[in-house]
Amino acid sequence: MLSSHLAGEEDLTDLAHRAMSDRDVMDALMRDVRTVSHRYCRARLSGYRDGGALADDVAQEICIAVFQALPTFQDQGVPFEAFVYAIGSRKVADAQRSAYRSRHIFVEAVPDLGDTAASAEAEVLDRFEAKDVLALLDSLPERLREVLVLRVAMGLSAADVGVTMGMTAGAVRIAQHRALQRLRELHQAREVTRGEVRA
Amino acid sequence: MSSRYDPVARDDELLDALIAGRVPDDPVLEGLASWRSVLLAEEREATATAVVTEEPLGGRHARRRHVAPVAARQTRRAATMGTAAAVLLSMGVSQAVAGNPVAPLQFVVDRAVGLGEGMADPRASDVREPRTVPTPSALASPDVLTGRADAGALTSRSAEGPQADRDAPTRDGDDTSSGGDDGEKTPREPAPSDRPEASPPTTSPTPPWSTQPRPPREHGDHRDRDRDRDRGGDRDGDRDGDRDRDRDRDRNRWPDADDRRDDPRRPWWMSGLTVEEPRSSE
Repeated sequence: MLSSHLAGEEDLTDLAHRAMSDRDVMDALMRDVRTVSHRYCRARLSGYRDGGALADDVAQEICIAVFQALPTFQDQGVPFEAFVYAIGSRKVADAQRSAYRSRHIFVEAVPDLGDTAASAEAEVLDRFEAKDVLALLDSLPERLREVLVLRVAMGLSAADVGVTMGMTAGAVRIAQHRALQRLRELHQAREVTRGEVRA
Repeated sequence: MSSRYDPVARDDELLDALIAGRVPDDPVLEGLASWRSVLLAEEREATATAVVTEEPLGGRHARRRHVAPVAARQTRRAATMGTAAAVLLSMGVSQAVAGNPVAPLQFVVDRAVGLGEGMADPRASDVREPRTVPTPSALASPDVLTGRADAGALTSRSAEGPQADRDAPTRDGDDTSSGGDDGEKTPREPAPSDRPEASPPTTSPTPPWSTQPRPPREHGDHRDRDRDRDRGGDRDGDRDGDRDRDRDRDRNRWPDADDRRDDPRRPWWMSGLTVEEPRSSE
């Protein structure tokens, strides 16, 4: 049985089977689903305006959709993570389309982000680098970008990514290698452009 | 032994190291590590915020401005429209019956308040008969004044005679305008403002509906159609009533509604009523 690295040591597929008859197990399952979906939404939507709030909303929608579709889940060799990923990817795609149409989100008050970073300089540098990486990721093909999102942002192994996306582990390794090569080329081209501008 | 360099395996190892928290010496992987650290920091922050701000659903918006429900608003609108339709219908019925759309309103106001048109007249006396019980000579028709429902009551009252009608307020004791003086028990002369100028009588002294029923019409008799075709009414100089087409001067017929409306001495709001005429001394 595949041990999941998504939300903890628990196997989500086993939890999903037991959740139908146990409310406590259902609660634990939905917590893990919320953690997984929230991280995935952050990874996919953080480049958008008010991506944090948008990711929160989409993660909640994913949890609701998973809860509603849970009775239809059947163990046919595909882990529950793939089931969640199939729902989450569609929800994220819908959110991205909606974000392109309406890019304004009204809030009652400016949210207080608190002091969670090690230092302000490190946080700023991280955010700048993260912004650059997101810009580079957007230029990748959909398949390669999904592999890197699941591999880096979600922390899945190559085998888990393959199970989730319906690929073999070798195909995942080749895809992530191509993605990194593409990112290096784009990064090098950008650095060259920046150097010419500075000169 | 020398191992062959496998870039695919190398990248896989670098990504595993990145997930483990070791930042490889690669600009792209450094950016990916920063991206992952930002995501993890936001996740921790979101989890902490969710724990702190955990509150029941709708608790933040507990006090909302009261908004009337849609059903009540529609009900009020329907009630308003129904009331308006009832008022219009009653005005239409009044127009058809009495020729005056506000005749019921005038009747109610006159009966309840007891005010007359002479109250504001400085020539009028303070004590005067209420208009709630007009004399039979002043009645144009029971249907005109009070509607068909009161026709029987007026007919029975008029059968007692003019004197009984004049004494009716004092007997009933509902004279609100006089204050209950003893002098009111005797018939009084009408006030100067109520007394019209000397003119030929326009109404019959005795109501024909109580003593002399209208004879049945003969074939070819179309008096109603032939009435007052010259539209002159009483202004055509026919004082003796012999040549008056509407035949309302022969003391046997009721005055026409046209004559009542054409009377220049009649107020505009009294178009369906008749002014009390003094008795002729003949």
